[in-house]
Parts: sequence; C-alpha cells; structure tokens
Amino acid sequence: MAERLAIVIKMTDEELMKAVHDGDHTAYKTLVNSHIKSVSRCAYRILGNRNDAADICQETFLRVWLHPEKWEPKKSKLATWLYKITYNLCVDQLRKYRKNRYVSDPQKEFEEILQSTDAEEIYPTIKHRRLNFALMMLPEDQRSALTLCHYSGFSNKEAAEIMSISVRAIESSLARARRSLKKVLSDPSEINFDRGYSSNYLEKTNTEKSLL
Amino acid sequence: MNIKQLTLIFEVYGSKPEGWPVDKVKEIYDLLETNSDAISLKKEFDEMDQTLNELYLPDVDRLTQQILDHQLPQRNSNLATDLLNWIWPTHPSIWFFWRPISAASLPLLFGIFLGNYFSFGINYESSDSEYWAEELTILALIDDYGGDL
Repeated sequence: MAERLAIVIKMTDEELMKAVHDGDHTAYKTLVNSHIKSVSRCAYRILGNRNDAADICQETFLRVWLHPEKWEPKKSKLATWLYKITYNLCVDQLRKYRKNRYVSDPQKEFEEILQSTDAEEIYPTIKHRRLNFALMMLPEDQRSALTLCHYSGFSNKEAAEIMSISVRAIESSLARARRSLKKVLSDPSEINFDRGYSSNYLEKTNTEKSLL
Repeated sequence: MNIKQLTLIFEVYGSKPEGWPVDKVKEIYDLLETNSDAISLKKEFDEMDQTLNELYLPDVDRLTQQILDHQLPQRNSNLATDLLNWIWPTHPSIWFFWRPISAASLPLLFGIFLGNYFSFGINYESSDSEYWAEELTILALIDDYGGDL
C-alpha cells in the first residue's frame, strides 16, 4: 500500500487518471487529497453554504470516479475539468434554490455564522463581515467569475472555459463584481446588516442585472 | 493611459501585475509612477484583494475523510463499452494504434475468408466446348469483317 502510494504520488495527471480509470483506489485517494481543498473552496464561495458545498464536492469526486474517461487531457487541464464539474453542479444547486424560492440561503448561512461562538474568529472586523456579505449577495455569474479568477487563480480565458461563456462576458462580470465590492467597502451605507442590502443597492443591482 | 482605463484594468484583471495584459504593463507602471490618484486606486484594490483573501473558509479535513470513507459504487460497464474502451483507450498512446487498425481491418479479413470458402452460386468453371462456343459467339457479333460478304 505504502509502496503504491509512493508511486502514485509521483504520477502525472494523465497517469493518475488512467490509474483511476483502471479502478485504483490509491490513485483516487491521491486525486481527492490533492484537489479537495480547491474544489470545496470554489463550491463554498459560489454557494455560500457549507453543507451544500460539501455535497457538491462529494458529487464532483463521485463523477470523477464513475466517468474518468470523460476527461480529455488534450482539451483541458485536470484542474480545469474538475472545476467545470464543480461549477456546473453549483449552478444546478443555485437553480434549485431559485426553484424552491430559497433565495436567502447565503444570508441565512451568514446569520448562522454571526450567531455562532466563533463569529469573532471568522469575521475579525466589520470590513470582513461587510465584504463577505456583499460577496454572497453578488449575482451568481459575478460571484463565480470572481471565485474562479481571484480565489482559484485561473486566467480570464480559463475561467471563461469553465463557465462556458465568452472571455468578454467574464470580463464584464468581473468588472461589475469588483466594482460592487469596492463600493460596499468604501460606502457602508450600501449595506444594512439587519435587512441585508439597502433598497438603494438592490435597486441598482437589479438594474445592472436587467442590462445583462 | 488615464485613471478611468486603469480602474477598468483593475476591475477586470485585478491589482496584481501578473494578471495585467502584457501590452499594458509598461503603461500601467508609468502611470503608477507619476500619478498619485493611480497609486491610491491601486492601494484601494490591493486592500480589497487582501480582505477577500482573509475571508472565512470552512475546514476541509472532515470533508476529505467523509469523501474517502464513502463507499465507491461499481462502475456500470457492458461488453460494448469495454470493447470500445479497449479499441480506443482513454489515454491513447502510439503503442495502442494496433488495436484500432486491427479492428478496422477485421471486415476486410472477414471478406477474404468468405470469398475463399464460399462461391455464393457463382460458377467460374467451364468446359472446353463451352469456351469455344463463347468465342464463336463473340466473333459472330463482330461485323467489321472488311469483305464483300
């Protein structure tokens, strides 16, 4: 087992996926260990909910196990393919939220964290609280674009490939996302913790959305 | 470059130089060296990036264990899929080309085999008299004799 692990760790992505395809559990474990952090963070940033992000992670790796042949090494990097699965699952989850009119989920999660004992540790300053809330309230495409480019370190082109949109569209989403966050940071009146966003802000966001 | 263009670059590509478009880097640095508004703008975006990086993220240790402990299901495979995967592997290399080539030439080999062992009602054998009869028929059909007959 240890010997196999030593071999698997040195494998390239292609060799690793071939081993997974052949049913090698050690290769699968190595794959999970090396990508779980990035995948779970991406899912959490997009969904804003720990439990759902955990489910998405589980589903992502399950899909990799069941259909490793779907990865085409000549078309994309392994990480890009994993993020694409994660992103698509997150979008499906967000659609479920909307369908069930469960739109306030990130807000609910945020409130839960604020009430928890480790709230001070999670949000050390009011600036952190404000920015986190603003991030959660961004439209889905803007939050996803920011997550992929800022947090996951993808280039605009790679992020566009993951989200299956044009580079121009992702650049537009990024610009709007950063503009909104900066506005919230510089002007605290844009946000109201008791009621979520101020009506002024929501109005502006909806106008931006309608322009899309 | 002006402040408006710089703001747009920061919004689209972030405030880190490695994300900026290569052809704009020099212009951005030039502006940052000469314009105090540009410097404060970069500072604002840097601060925002810094705060974004400091935001809370849940711990993944328990999740990793949860995923690894999860009983992996059996893959649904059938003979046709297995055969296709064998012929054209997921990660083909040059050493696997004999498989699709041999699969593609299989119908040809099958045709040669059938042709060798079965006549399918076509009889090529003929006696000598039949051969001459055929020759005479062909000669009779040629009317370009050139004589006065």
